[in-house]
Amino acid sequence: MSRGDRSVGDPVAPVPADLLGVPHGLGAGHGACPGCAATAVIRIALHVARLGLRRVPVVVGGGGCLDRATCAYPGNAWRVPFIAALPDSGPAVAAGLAAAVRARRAGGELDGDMAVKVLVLADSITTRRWGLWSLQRAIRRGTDLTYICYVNEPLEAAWPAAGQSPVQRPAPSIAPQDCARLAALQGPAYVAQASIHAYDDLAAKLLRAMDACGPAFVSVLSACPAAGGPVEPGAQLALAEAAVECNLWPLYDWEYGRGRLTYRPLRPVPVDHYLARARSGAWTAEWAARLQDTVDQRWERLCAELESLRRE
Amino acid sequence: MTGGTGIPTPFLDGDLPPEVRDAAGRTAMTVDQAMARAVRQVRPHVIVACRDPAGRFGAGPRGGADDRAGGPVFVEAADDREALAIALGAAAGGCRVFAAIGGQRPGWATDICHHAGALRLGMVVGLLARGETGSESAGVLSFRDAPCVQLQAEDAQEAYDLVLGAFRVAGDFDLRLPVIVGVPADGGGVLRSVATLSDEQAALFAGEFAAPEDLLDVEHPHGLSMAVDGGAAHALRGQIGAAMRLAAERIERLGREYEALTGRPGGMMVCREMDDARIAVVATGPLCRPARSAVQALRREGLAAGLVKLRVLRPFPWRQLADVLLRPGLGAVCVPDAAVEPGSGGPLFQETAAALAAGAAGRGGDLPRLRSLIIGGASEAAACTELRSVLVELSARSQAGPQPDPVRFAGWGPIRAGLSEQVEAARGAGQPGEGAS
Repeated sequence: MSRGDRSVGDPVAPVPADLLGVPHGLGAGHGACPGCAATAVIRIALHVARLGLRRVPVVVGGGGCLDRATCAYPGNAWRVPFIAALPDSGPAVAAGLAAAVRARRAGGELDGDMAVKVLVLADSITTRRWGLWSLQRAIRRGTDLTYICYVNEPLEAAWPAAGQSPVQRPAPSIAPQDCARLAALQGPAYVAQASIHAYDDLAAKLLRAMDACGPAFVSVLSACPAAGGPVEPGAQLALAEAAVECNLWPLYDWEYGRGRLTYRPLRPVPVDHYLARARSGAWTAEWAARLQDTVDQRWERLCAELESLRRE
Repeated sequence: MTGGTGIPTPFLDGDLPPEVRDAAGRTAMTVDQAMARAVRQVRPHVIVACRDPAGRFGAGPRGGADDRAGGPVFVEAADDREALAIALGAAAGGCRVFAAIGGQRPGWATDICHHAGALRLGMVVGLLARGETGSESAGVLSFRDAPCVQLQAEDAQEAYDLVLGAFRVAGDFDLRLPVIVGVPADGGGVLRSVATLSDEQAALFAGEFAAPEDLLDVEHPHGLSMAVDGGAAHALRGQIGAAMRLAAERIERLGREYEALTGRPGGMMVCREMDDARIAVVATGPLCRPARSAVQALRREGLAAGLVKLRVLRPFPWRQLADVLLRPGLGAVCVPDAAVEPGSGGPLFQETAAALAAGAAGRGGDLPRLRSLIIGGASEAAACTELRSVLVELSARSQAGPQPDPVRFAGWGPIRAGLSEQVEAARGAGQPGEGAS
């Protein structure tokens, strides 16, 4: 991987050490698909919470595929407290848990030194359709939670209908990118867009998100083998890297209204580079060109927005 | 003040002028203030409520919520659905929780109750039944399919009594079920006399809280999910069914304990004038008041009418109800419902019919004639008049021969084959619908 221009963002935070000595927060026995990158996102997040911040993570499943894959009665693969919420109520359930922590600590029922961090975990489709609605309210309420959105849908076209040919496809929309933008509009303490292949960048962003006093949102590209991603486990990382290198998935964060790119490819590659790795069916050169236009426009708009914020 | 604005939160308690007590020591309260008094006396860990459409909570002391002073934590929700989801999270976190809902459509929040019931999380929900929505019952019966204990109060006194008892049921380690207490909106905040327990008595009755579920026990992490793998679904449903059966026993026992403490009836249902009744009304919640008026009026006219008031709708007391209604001499039963049920008759009518059928097995003899009266939205006087006319008609009709359609809409008569016939009937009677084409 080309490391690009690191000077744009802050230096990355140190990777939590001694990972091998800590049991996984998500153990064996879950039913996620072979090659699922989202499980790696979870494990990194739990390691960051426990080792990076010394906090006890409590996970709220916000209605993604992993809720069922990891905890379906009578099975449970979690080694940390977990509760599955309905698709639109993850942040609300997290707010209830946060209130429970406050109430029980005030009543002396909880160890005052035990720092709990409530994480909400949901996929990008659920987040766009329902999660942001509830997250918006949690943000207004100032609930101390970190919402981790794992992007498990094809980046280049949201919900391509089954059986559609490339000619019938709608104009490229890159809808998953909108999750972080929409969340940022609500004014949380921290918003970031990260990718599973850039571990250090992801860990640093998760660390910042969980350390923020208030609601935070992190959207992580983690291609899904069942929805257009490659089936081979290692290929997920290559696909995510390709998406970042062709600016289809910019890495940036947004803290208290100040945004910055955390990675800028020195020489962006064409989107064909990504499409060739994605298992998203046939695509034509004309459609790829339209996607490239969309990607370029979005990239320029993002850079302009971040630049204007920096001048302010 | 509160009921008229539809504020579902009972937190104006502290804004009241000094208490006015009558000679018997009872206090004048609205329904939501009575509920607030019970909540304040129990002092749950977390109170959740949402603003009313006018953006007000009933500011006040929020049921005494002030976590800085070691009191309950108050969380503001944007709507009923979110309030229940927050309460669910707090209950999962090992807290005694009270959620006040009812400002918006409660039907929108029913699946959160399904969720809480499936996760076996005990919490108390106060539901202000405003009855302003179209087809929904807008009360506890909106939640009738959810695995929750469902109680229905008729007035402020019952609201106080049932909320106190609900905390005891929700905190029962063997039950682990949410408890919904429906309270009537009560026509714009009418003050009624309410006898309350002292704070010490109330706290003693509600009992010490030992969290049935504690997700914050990080030494023993576990997962809570509504998802079920294959055949385990039967086991889960069986457990919920067993808990509901056990809930019936516990509620009966609790009722006897409360009756001994206060002298007020505490069972699952209350029978009035049923010893010699030849016709009866089965009602719940705010419809009990017009039903009682109708029964009293008919008694004065020499007709032996009686009333069965249901205070607990889930678990449904079908055996007790069948025992009362299958008594020899009772010829007809009218069941008023607020809601339209697209099946046959209102929801309480269907429950009553099922209870009669189940209870009649092996007994022999005729079942009483049943009539469903859909009465939602009618004023108390209109409801009383309608009930009286139905009861008179039922008492006059012979058991033999073809029976009319058992479903009747207040002001519209029995359901007819089509809309045109209804309009025709309304035209003839000069009722709403005139001029419709």
